[in-house]
Amino acid sequence: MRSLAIISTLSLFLTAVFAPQFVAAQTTGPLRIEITEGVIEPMPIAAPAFVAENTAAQQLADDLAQVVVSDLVGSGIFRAIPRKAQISGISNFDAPIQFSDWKAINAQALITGSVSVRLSGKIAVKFRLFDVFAQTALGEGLQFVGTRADWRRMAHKVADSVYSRLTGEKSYFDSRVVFVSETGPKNARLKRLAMMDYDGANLQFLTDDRSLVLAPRFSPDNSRVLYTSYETGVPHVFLLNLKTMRRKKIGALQGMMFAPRFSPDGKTALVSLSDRGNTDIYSINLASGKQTRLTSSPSIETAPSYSPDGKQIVFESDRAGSQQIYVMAASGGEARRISFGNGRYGTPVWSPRGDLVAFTMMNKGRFHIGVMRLDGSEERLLTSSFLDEGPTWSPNGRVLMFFRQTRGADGAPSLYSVDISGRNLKRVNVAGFGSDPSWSGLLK
Amino acid sequence: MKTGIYISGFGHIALLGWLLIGGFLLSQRKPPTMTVSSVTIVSPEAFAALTSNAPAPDTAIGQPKPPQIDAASPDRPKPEDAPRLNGAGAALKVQEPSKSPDLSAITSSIKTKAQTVLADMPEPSAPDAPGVTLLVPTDPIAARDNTGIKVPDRLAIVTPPEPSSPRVDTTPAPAPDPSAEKSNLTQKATVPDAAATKAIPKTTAKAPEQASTRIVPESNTKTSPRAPVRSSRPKGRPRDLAKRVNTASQIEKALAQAQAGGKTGPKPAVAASKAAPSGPPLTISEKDGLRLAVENRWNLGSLSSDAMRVTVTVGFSLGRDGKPLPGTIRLISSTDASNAASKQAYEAARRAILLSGAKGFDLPAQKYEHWRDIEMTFNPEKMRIK
Repeated sequence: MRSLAIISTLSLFLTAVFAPQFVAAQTTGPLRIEITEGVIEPMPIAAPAFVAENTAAQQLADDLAQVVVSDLVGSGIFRAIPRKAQISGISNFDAPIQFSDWKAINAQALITGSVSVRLSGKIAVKFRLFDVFAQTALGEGLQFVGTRADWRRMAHKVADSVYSRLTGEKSYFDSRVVFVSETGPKNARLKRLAMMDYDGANLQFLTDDRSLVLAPRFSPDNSRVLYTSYETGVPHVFLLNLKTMRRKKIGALQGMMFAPRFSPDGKTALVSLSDRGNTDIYSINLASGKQTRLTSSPSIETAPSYSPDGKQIVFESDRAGSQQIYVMAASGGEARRISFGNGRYGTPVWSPRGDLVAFTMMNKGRFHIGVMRLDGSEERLLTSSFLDEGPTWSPNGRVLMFFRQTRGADGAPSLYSVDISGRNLKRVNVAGFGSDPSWSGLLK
Repeated sequence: MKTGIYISGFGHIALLGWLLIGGFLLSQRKPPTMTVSSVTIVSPEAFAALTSNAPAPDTAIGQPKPPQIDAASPDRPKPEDAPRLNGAGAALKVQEPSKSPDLSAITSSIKTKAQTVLADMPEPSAPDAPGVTLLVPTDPIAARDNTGIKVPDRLAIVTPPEPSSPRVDTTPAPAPDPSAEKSNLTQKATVPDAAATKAIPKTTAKAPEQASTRIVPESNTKTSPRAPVRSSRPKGRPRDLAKRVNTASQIEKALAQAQAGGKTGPKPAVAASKAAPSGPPLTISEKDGLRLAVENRWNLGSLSSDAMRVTVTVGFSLGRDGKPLPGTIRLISSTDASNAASKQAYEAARRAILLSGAKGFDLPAQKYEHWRDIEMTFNPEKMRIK
């Protein structure tokens, strides 16, 4: 009883002492609000037609602006305000910006640019980026100079700069994709290597259609391509130099060689070799041809992919009875399983950021493209269809490209891209069919 | 033989003569009894009050009557004017201190007491009052309150009933020791401190400061049969509170009333809010309106994965039109050391504030002081991709 009285007295005293201070602190300080819910929607931007500084640049100015807008809108992060909704245009690149006009149409960012064609035939593209509501410029203005043939790349460069300044991360517009272009009916499909800009433009074929080709992979410096070809009758891995367009067969191993992948330094290739019913992973030094066996289990190990630092390898194996994903040291040795979900997992690819692994998952007759962390956590499936396969990472690790095969006798593969959040799933605009994409790094 | 008779006769005559004359002489030599008679002049109430170390609350408050102190404070009172308490001074006034050594001890004591009373009177606070006890009533006070004053059924400081027996001892003081020697020390009359007397009038005129914000009338305590002797366990929060208060508006109204003030509300909060911005604070719905307006404009779609892991706190000020004041938006803190990610997170937050406040937030103008300065924490944890 006595202690209770003491406690009551003490409580009253403390309340009397501190409660007023607490209340005072609550009422005298600034109003504090916590925001925990937001929206995820494209940011509205305005990109009026670029200013043509001479008549020769008239068409280029319009085309450049359209490519810039297409890049930004295609990312799913930005939304372009139609030009007809814009109150005022930009007629002089150096004139002051009437922010009120752009603020009125709710544009959060404004891109202005100009294009000029010089006497040498080169074109110069200048641009500036503005924060409309802050009424300030975002970074310095930039200028790119190149040949007329490179105008799309210059447009991609402008879009990359805008993307990086507004999102704070690297972009991926000025990049390329190598893939297998397919033509013809399903039972007589012709396949050949092709390369294009990330958006499907500037398509060019790298091989003819006389032999079946599979799984092309860009080198880290974007100058070479590893791919699998049946031109010798059995699948084997070739190295194609994109500058000289010369190719060579790598390795001297007997058996079927496929699923090549470059190391981060571009000096080594990982391949899968199937010999007498067993498939294992090997590394091949591209300069010396030295071969090293990395796995030796009686199961099937294939689809290897280096980590960005080159110290680890992620691959698929059925050593546990079903197709799952494992990680081991780049020099081989003990592997640990990281996939534990329902279904079978394959074609793992390490993210250029190093934090995620993209994969193909097969479950209950459907295919999914998904990502997971290196410990197998936070697995999420991004797509679902009759056949989705072959994911490849964008240079910034934010977007995945893969191919989707449609069902039926007329089924054909097409290239798709999706954000790692699962949003902005869209088909890549490619002439013909396409499969096995491999995204390059950002071009220099 | 006759010689003996003569001697005997002379002796008897002398004895008779001494008896006749000696009684008168003896009556002249009686020890002075004035000291005893003088002491009895002081009234028992005054004597008890002045010699008591712990005066009763009403005595302590009522003793220094303003007229007397005011009369003494402007000019230094004469020694014989100083002790004018309860009529005791009437007897003392007729005696000069220097000429009444037998009374010097008492008068000195009275003067000292008088000065002590004057000096100690200014702040007769409740805790100093004897017998005031901090207790929790067994039953709610409100249930026993018949004065019409609404008293919450919580803790209160309750004064105990006055003692039925008088605090002044009516027994006469014993006579001083006759063998005590007279003191030759001349003691000057004590002059009240002017500084002390100046502070007295204001304090004596008002009631003692309440240690509790609840009013506990003394009349009630007198009629109370007994003081509460034990504390009751505080009532738990009702489980069906949400059912009792059906709508958010009722909750807001209750909160606004409780925080804004009234005299019936919790007094500590009211006292503390005196330093806060005037007027009632924002209600929950008003805060929600502000929060929702910003959330609808907080677009995380353009944030990088790193920026999606950053929580930023942004401070800004609003004009009376509810629009963010230019130049006041600033980053206060960030959970990430990466400048790039923090910058992106801050930019998204800043855009949300500017966009949502472009036409002015819908906030009550009369509560401007409450929403003039705002700190918003943007936490994307729920929006993060997992």
